[in-house]
Amino acid sequence: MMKKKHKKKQNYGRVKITLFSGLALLFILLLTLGIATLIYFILSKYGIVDKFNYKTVMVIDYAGVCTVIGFILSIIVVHRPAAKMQKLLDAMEQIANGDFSVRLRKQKKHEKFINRTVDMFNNMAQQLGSTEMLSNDFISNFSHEFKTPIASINGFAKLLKDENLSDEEKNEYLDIILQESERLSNLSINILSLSKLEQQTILTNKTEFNLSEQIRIIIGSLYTKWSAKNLDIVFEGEDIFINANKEMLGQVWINLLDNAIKFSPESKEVIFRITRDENNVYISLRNYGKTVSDDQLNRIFDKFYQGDESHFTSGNGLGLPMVKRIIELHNGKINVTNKNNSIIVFDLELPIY
Amino acid sequence: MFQILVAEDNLNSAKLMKIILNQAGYKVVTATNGIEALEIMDSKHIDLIVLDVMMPKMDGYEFTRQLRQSGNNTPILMVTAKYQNEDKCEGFLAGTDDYMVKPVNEMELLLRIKALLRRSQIISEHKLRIGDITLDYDSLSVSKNGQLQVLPQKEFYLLYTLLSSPEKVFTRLQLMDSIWGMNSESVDTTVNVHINRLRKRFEGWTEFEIIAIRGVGYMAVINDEKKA
Repeated sequence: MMKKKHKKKQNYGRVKITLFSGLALLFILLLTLGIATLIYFILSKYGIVDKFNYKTVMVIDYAGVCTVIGFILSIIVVHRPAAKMQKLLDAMEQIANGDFSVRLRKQKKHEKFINRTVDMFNNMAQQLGSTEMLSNDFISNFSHEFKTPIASINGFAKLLKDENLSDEEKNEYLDIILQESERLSNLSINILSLSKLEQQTILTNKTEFNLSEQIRIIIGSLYTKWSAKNLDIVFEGEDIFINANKEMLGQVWINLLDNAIKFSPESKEVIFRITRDENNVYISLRNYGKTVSDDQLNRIFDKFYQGDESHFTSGNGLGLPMVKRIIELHNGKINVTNKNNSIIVFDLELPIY
Repeated sequence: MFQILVAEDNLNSAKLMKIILNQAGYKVVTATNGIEALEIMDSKHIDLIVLDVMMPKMDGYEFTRQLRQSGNNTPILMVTAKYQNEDKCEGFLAGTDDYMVKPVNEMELLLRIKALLRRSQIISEHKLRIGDITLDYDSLSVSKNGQLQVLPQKEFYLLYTLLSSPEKVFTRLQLMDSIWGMNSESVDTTVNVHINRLRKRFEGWTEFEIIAIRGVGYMAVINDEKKA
């Protein structure tokens, strides 16, 4: 039933376009005819051309017939492209309604122009489809990540209205509210950054800078965090320069280091190593952590994934996806492995230029 | 007692800021737009400004520009919801000293205010005080309990830099660049050598400590009694 209705609508649309173009042409032809007649009439009045006689009338008749034939021909010529145009309009309406799976078909016999339009349309539909932010999966994960802390805050705030709570209970509930608000705050900041990253396809703002120095400075700036756990952070490597987006890479080191600090047991080592060859820079970050299963390792770059236990921390699972995206934009590689079951190693490769 | 101007048009945010700053021991004056803020700068003595950017009548950027143009160098800490890099750039170009994105962590806010006040005092007096110790930039001298020693230039600048920003890690390159100059011929071990000389010189002094972080750099830590 839907298909018949849809076909009917398509046909109706096609007829509309055809008729419209035909009528437009007819109007132009009639107008031309009218103007030509008028000019002839004025000229004849001034004696520049022969007076209006039956020969003139025959010519006008002849012109009239040409016009009608022209009208019919235009309908024939336009009706096929009109159908294509209607198909394109329908497909665009589907996209506007959120269905990115629609694709148009190319055919060899179509003109180059039409085939190019089809290509561009399909490209657009594919890009929209692959933008994860618009996918249902992401949206449902995302709203869950927001709703959960909000529910906690709401719930514990209501509990706090109870006058009979002990001081200990009050403090506990307040702590939870604080924790969850902070989680929400981090989440909103990170989501904004991540969506900006996802929209980018080309890397902009590349500059040449000292990568080793950047990492050293970032390690230094996180001193308070890692000294609190009595970690021993070691940086090994010479000064290596790279041509890249300094700010984005800075975010990569901050996220990776933050992650390492979070999961490392106290008083252990975290080692940063940087080397290079002719074309690439190789960075490796290793830290001790809890045993991670292969399955967990594979999902470590998924958005919102935090490993089974770590939902208790104030993180929100967006740090590593951001890192992966930035490395991808730089045409680099990132890999995580699990050595000896309790050492986690992140290996990154970035082109120097 | 330091007096801080809080320029913020949202009443609740301003209230929160005032309470936090009062609790930390500062006196607070408020303004709800850039024009009011300029009027206050003209009529009162302000040690530091906590500035929101999006305000009616005159925004934070314009306020900062006008203040700097008039020659006033009071430290400014921009606290704003605008998080984009272009916004930060505009802020710093206008003349702000620091920039925080809302929502702010209160502890971080207080620490940054403290650092800004400390730096501005150091800048205006050219002196650095830690307990009984005074470092005098102009005479390259360090005095404690009446006893004075004059240090060689590079050693003094190194100590001064580290102590002006306690608990901030400076990399070897950063220290080389700011003290020896970027085109210097000195070797990478120069900083190391000078740090060791400083450590030897102030061996018995408990008020501060110079810490090395392997592969990264150095920092100074101040041992306050206030710190637990």
